[in-house]
Amino acid sequence: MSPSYTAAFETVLRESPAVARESRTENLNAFLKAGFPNKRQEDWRYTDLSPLAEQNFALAAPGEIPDLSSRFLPGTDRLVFVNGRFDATASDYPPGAIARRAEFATPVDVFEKDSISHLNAALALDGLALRLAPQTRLDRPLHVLSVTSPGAAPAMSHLTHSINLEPGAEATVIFEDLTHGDGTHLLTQRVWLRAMDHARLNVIRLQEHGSGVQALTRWDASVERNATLDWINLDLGGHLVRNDLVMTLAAPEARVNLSGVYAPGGTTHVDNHTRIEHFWPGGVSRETYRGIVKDRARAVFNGRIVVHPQAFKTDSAQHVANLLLSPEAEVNAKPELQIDNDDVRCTHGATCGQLDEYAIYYLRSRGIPLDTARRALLYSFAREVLANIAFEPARQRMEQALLARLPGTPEVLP
Amino acid sequence: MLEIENLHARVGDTKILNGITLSVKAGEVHAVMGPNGSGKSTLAHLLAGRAGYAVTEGRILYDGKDLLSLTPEARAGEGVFLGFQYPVEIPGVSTLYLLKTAVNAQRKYRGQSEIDALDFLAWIRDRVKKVRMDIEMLHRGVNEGFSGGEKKRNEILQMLVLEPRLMILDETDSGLDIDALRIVADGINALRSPERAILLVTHYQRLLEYVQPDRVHVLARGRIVRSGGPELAHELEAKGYGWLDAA
Repeated sequence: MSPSYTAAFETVLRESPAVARESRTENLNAFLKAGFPNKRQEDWRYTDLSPLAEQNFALAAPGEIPDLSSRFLPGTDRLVFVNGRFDATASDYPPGAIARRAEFATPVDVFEKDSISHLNAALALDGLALRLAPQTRLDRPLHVLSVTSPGAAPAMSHLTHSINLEPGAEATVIFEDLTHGDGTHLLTQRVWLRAMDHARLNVIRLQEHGSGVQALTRWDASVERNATLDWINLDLGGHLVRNDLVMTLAAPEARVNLSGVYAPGGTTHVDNHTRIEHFWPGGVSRETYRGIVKDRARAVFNGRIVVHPQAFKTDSAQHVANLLLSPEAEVNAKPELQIDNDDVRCTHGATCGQLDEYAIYYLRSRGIPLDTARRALLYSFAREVLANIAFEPARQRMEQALLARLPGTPEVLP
Repeated sequence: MLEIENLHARVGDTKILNGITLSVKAGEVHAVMGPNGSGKSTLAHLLAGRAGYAVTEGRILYDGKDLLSLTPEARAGEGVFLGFQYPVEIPGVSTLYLLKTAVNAQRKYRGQSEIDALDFLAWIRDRVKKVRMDIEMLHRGVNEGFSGGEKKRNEILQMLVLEPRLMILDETDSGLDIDALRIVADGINALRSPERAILLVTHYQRLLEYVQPDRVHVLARGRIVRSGGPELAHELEAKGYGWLDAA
């Protein structure tokens, strides 16, 4: 293992209060012991992180802040993190401070950890900590902008976020990850989500990292009685992107709507590993993913759904569809259902193909050039997911971000 | 306007068209009738530019130009329109977008400037009313969740907006109730003019009650086996297509 991880840890430790040191040390040791995952581990068959062990990532210095005003979303409050550190001047949020040094509000860590989570817990200094009291709601959606600003030398940053909705609370949070510059950067994020009874949590995420960024994000959610989690992700950039989701329906009648679009290009590698755990009766989960893979990019989707023996009347549907836009593009999509009782309704489907030539011809026969016809159909394909974003400014931002990445001449679509 | 000369075409190893010769002048309405599998739809799609057909002999001239050498979008720019038998559903791409993009692309092809957005909307609304569709449908995905009849009316709407010079309507009458059939026929008749030509591809003579053809051609086994006036359609209606086996 490169000594850079331990060196970064020493730096972090100096910034940490005494109470956090023991836990950070334990996490660092656990990380060093386990190392980065490699291809011999089933969950990492297609995404090998072992090269990270030999790279020297210094803990990123507070980066230069680009002008972010064009990224601001109207009607939102805003928290900005640059290179893993909270940026108070660029942020704009109501009193009742919800950005913090990670150790002040770390929830009890009940979730199992992989080695990257240990690394994150050892090194993350900042992140969002949002807790809503029962029956309260965020008046405005919260926009969490995380900017990575790579320098000349490889660097890393880490963020730990938590959102905790107490019974009946409601919130919409938009995570937007972007990069300012081209250098090499490693970013790990860990996000805890908890929706207690009857709470409604709406999470939207847009990832537009630069081509030198390796972004590893782990999401753990606990959704409780009659609570709903809506989670929508759009992955567009990055060099290596891995999203690990563990969504737990932790009480009866919980509901999880999980969806995403990945549209990697160039040589981007994007890997979504999702796991939905039904532990209690009456849970409902919906999972929809759309992949548009071009150039020499590679996408991995692994969607695991586990219905435990006591989770009667579970209603679960999963669908993933992929379009390959070039002969060198690659997709590995694998649904995995593990159903341990008979009284359930579970459906799943996975497809991989090309654009419908007949539909392209239909549009061309109206005078629409080939290029535009293809873009319109790609947009149509992804929109099945993006149309579900209820907060209009976020939906528009994400549709435009996707359109800008589709092959062909950028132009406005409906 | 349209000269089809000794056209032979096949898909893979299967011969579909075996020497079609057909001449349509501006101002004329021609009906191409025939049983299933006679090559009617292949002819329609060859005119519009669908890929996958190999033309082994013959040619198609449109205004003296070699139509087969043009892309589908260039043919549209030249004024060719095909009303599809099976229109495609495109969720997330609105009919308004489709129309606006198509009109502007065709205008660009012809060296004209883009159309003013507000004028355009008013003009489209007028045409939506003509096909008796809900204005709201303009903002919905193209043909998304439409019934068969609504899809056909949407084809006619697109035709009314694009104002093509050569209209090919492939089984546009199939699956329509009598009210929808009238709307479709009215749309076709609205565009009938001395500068335009219409090719109705149909299995039945039903539509021809509402759109009077100048010429009727009977297609069988990839060839035109008989041509005549409107009375030929009535004869087919009475006798069916069975007699063609002997022809």
